[in-house]
Amino acid sequence: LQWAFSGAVHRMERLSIELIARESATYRHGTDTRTDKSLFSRIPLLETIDRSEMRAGENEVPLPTEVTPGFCGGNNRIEWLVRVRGEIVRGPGVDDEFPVQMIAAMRDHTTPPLDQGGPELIEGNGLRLGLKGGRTSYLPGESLEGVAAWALESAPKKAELRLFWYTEGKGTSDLGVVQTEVFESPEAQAVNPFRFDLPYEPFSLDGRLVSVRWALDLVVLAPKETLMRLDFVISPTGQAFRIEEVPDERRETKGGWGIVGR
Amino acid sequence: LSAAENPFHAARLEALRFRHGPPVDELLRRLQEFRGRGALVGPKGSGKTTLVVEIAARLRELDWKAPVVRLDPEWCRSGATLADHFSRAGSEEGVFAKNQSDAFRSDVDHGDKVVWFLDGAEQLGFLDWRWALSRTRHADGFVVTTHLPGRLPLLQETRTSPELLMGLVAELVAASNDGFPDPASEECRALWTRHCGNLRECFRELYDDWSRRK
Repeated sequence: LQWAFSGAVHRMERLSIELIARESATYRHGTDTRTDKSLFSRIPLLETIDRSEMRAGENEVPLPTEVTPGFCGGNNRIEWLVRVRGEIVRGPGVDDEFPVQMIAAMRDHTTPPLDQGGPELIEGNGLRLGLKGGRTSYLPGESLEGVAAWALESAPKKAELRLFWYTEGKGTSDLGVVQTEVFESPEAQAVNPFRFDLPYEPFSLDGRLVSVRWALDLVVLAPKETLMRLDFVISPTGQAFRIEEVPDERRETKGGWGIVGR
Repeated sequence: LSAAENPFHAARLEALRFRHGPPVDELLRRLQEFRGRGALVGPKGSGKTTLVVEIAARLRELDWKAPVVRLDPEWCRSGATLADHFSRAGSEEGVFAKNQSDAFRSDVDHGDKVVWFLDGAEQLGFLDWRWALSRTRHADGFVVTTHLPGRLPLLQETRTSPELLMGLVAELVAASNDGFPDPASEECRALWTRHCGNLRECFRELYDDWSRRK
């Protein structure tokens, strides 16, 4: 970490620099747009009252090995930021944030077997969908294999399988379709094995404002659209990242006495 | 509770249907009586947008086009004009102007049955309002949402009540099956009063309350 200030740095009484992580959820409904934020990690990088140290410097701080990676879904985000706060007695201080891209450390693929407690096949409305070995969680980049099947009275007009992530929470939902497999000329009864190469992000996570989920949708048009969803986890730990809110001591100090940090 | 487990998460709120009013088909009949022009009037968080979504969905089922123009409070600061908003909503719905000079006749020329919706009409000044009326004068309908009556005939007034809030909360909590009891009726009443009947704000507070439960 490197920092430098220009301007009336001598007015600053205290400088603190920390790495923070927060969830951000924007809710849009009709004419109303609101954004909520919730802090879940604060890692102090520097805390000083020494003015010579404030003007410029550099520091090295080890990061925890397992951090929740950043995510940007449009309305829902997991943000990592370097937050710089400078206190000035009897005046507005410095309060700036600098975004940081955080990626998760990948685990070795020799990780112990992941959770395999799921059913072989789920069924409903004549559709069946299952993942090989009843798996419910996958490592990023792994292959996902399974079977999509249906037994209907007549041949469907269209049948496809979608691999996608979606968000749930306080913000308006985001969704990203990663891959679609279209089953050509579908017959009334069919059993289709499938295989997808999973992407490396985003990871499954559960926060206070945002949850990111992965799922497969089997969509059959026969003639009305029928859908079956199967949720699963993508994560280097085999489990969805769980993030908990931490208290934020942020002060309202926007502005500054001509002090500019970078 | 995690975001996905929270009974008040956005997707669940958006799945709630409008209640406390006549069925959508009755509103469409009323709209026909008003020659296709009408206003949904009510305070913030009373269900106007929900009602717009439901009427538009019903019209689409009937093979009508129902473009919805949404104006948030930042709409005029974004640099986009009202015409841009209409044109975006129109193209999302497949209602296109043939060319610039045809812009005002496009709906008729294409032979589509079109009802335009304008959500947030209270934000329009006099000139923009006149422009919106001109833009939609050849359409089969024009429905606006606004906070006060006066601009178009009153199609439906939207209101909330503590009982309505209690009913919705009970429905959401029951569907989530998380084992937590419904908030007491006094709690709902106090919440409704605190947010002046704005259900959206009530649900936001309930979301925060639930998200801190273990």
